[in-house]
Amino acid sequence: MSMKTEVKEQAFETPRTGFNWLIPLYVVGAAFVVLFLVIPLGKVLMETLGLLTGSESLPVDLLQYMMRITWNSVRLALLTTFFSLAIAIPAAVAINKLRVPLGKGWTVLLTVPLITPPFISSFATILLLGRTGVLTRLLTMLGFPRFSIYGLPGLVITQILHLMPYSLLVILAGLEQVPAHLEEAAHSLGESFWGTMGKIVLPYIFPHILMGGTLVFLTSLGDIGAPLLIGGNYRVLPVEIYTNFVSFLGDDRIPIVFSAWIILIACLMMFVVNWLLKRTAIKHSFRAKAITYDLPRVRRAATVFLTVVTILFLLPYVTIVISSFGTVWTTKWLPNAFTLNNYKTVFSDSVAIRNSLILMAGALPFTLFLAVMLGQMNRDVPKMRWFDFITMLPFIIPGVVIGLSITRAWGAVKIGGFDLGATVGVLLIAISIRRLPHAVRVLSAGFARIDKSLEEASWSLGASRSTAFKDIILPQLRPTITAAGVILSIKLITELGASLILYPPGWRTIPIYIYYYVSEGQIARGSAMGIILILIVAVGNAISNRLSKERGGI
Amino acid sequence: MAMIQIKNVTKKFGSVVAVDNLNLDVEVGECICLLGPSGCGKTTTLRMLAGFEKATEGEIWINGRLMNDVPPQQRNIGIVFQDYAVFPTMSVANNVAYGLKLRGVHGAERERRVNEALELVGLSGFGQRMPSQLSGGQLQRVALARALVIRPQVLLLDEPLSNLDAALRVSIRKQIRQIQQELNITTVFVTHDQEEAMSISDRIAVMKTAKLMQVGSPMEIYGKPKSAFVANFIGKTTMLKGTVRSAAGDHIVVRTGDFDFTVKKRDEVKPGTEVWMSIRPQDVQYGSETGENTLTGTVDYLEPLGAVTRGEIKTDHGFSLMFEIANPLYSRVPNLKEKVSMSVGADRIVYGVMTASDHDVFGELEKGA
Repeated sequence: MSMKTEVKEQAFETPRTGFNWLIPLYVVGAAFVVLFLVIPLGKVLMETLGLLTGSESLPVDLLQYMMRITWNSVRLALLTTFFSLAIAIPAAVAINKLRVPLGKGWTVLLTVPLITPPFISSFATILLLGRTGVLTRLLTMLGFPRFSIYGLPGLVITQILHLMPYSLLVILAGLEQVPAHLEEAAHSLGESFWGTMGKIVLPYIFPHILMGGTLVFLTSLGDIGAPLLIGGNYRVLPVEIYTNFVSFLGDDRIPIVFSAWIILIACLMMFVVNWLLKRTAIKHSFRAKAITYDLPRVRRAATVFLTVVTILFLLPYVTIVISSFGTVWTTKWLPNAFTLNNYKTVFSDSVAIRNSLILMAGALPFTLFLAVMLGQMNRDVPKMRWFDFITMLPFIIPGVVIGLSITRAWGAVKIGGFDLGATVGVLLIAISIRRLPHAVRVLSAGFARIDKSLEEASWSLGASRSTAFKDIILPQLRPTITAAGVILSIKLITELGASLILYPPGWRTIPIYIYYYVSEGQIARGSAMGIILILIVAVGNAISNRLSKERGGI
Repeated sequence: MAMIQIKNVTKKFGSVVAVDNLNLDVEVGECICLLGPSGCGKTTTLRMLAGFEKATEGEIWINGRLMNDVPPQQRNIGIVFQDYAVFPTMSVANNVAYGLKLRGVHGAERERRVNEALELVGLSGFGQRMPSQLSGGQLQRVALARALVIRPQVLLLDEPLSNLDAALRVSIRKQIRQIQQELNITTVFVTHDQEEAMSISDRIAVMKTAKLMQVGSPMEIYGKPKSAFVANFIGKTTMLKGTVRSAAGDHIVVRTGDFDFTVKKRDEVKPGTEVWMSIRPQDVQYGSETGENTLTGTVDYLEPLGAVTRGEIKTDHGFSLMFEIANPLYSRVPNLKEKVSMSVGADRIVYGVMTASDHDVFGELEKGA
């Protein structure tokens, strides 16, 4: 038999080991994060420290003001989180457990807001609930007292409209994992549907509820679009940073100190959430199909509930579509007349579309590359695990703060005569850093699914670490990379906070245009631009779906 | 010279000692099983041989080369994992060819060796299939072919059968053993299943809580266990505690409950010493009223297993004994609660002086009961 080991006669064939090219790539990825995230955030913190300890110490009333604004931010975030969960939990149970007609179709409808920029729902809210809004008139006709949506109520409504779907998705994912046996055991012991939900299912998915709530809370805390557009006098931290940064009359200490404050809050929250997640984690020791319930009366009620919620959530988008084709829309149920002029005007400003597409085309491959390298580093180099924490920071630090800290660190740096702060390169870097965590998070799930023993098997066969990455990990990661690319492209093209701070002359993006249109009262044009943005995202989605299907994703 | 030499190897994960001062030699062409309950350190030992873990202390030699700092890529070792670890994005043939590609084996030579390896594991013609189209047993054989095709100096198998169903487990272990003997490849096999270990290996190394308890041929381990743990872990047996009453001549007398067992002397013990005894169920002569160590009792439990019926007799002396009736279809099987007598040959009882570790074994037995 020729396979017999002939150890004594001949030396074994040795695998050719080459240079581990992963290491320079790790260094590039890590260096990028250090240069454009760690150093900028560090700079803001150091400057704040300087202001606090400097000769001219900060006046007490500025700090008191900061506390007041912080409370505004936190109150808004808490209210938004509370109501989002109050809608998302029953909606998720209805979709997952009650065999409602349409089934998962509800999830698709209710997650439409996720592919739209957050601030779009804010001017839909104006159209619907503003002083002359359609719903306002409807409600006053029904005898409800008049109210103003500018300020806290409008902000809460707008943010719920945009953020509830985040928590819905996370909670649905949790419900999928509840083993049928648990619920069956509860039934066999005589527990009712409601009892099973309340005592078994919801406690089981508590980590998901916590995660969903945290996602809503943090996004609300960092949101700048809605507060700028309909916040009125209700001022929150990102708005204070932005307005004081752009205004000549602003207090130039506020952006720095408030940013440092937000960075601290964000780090603290990240620790607390990690700790809570660890404490509440349930080990999924067995897998089983999720169980559903045949309860006609509850199902009917759930269907009505889902219908009402879905109408409320989709109404803003209907409104935007109508508005984008309308002329003036003030005192009537519909705009005075219909026209294509809004689109014509918007297309005459087509530079916005061009800008956004160029930025996305540049930032998408770059950010994906970074995310893959950092994910692999996290897997490959246990000593660098802590770096993952840093990479995730932009997820919870508002875009305005990221943008501001990058200008503070790099704005005055000149490279070869170019003012780095005024180039589109910095904008590209900023939105990449800002959206990096979204890609990292999606990819980390993909990395986690790849069994370590596959890598070890390839090592023992002679594959170097970089060869194992190329041959074993990357092919398995491909579907996840596609998914991360889709989410990333949406997140990149809808970025507002960092762009507002950093865009150089001539580089207004679609979200910035929408923001300016709406703040100038040009709501119809803003709507048209918004529709274009949604279309770009939808087309991009369709293309990548097609691509991943053709590849026969695994 | 031994193919594998493990010298004073200790592995710590933080403050946890996973392997404690292990010494073991494996000869060329030998198949050795690392056997023990989960957490005993057997997989860690295997992973140190493969190079996935570094020994905290001690030396690992393979084929005369010190391996402590040699990365897994350069050890020329074949490994088969519990979950197969067949690359899901490559066809069966590409999985098997992978190690050859990395060694620069090309063209017809590579194809020939891949086909040869697939033939060896009985998967000829499966080369173009994707792993998702294969069953667990087939995947396991792909993993085996992939490990063997590179002509490794040593083959490591990490619980390779535990994800398979019972019937398949038996047929694949036979296949593995035949291939191993045909190729005369030095093999280390990790398992927690004592039957598997006995069936496949030349020698068994029994491990418990990071320590090596005993090394020997399967029948040595079964017949001459050196500790209560090994006696109890390998095969069915009744474990009893007793005190040596006399140790003169060829026999010793051990008091258990209110019964005095006469036991053939193997090792010297002094009267008054506390010992453990192991009595295999097939050594309990049920129905015998004469002979050595004759006891009476009541049948407490019966378990028909087909080839044998196993049961437990609650003796009138304060302890129970497991017994076995071979060929129960054609023998008289007692009824439950029936009064019976039995005897145990003095040469069939294995004993040893109680150590702290043996006390632990009895502690756990009592907890389990």
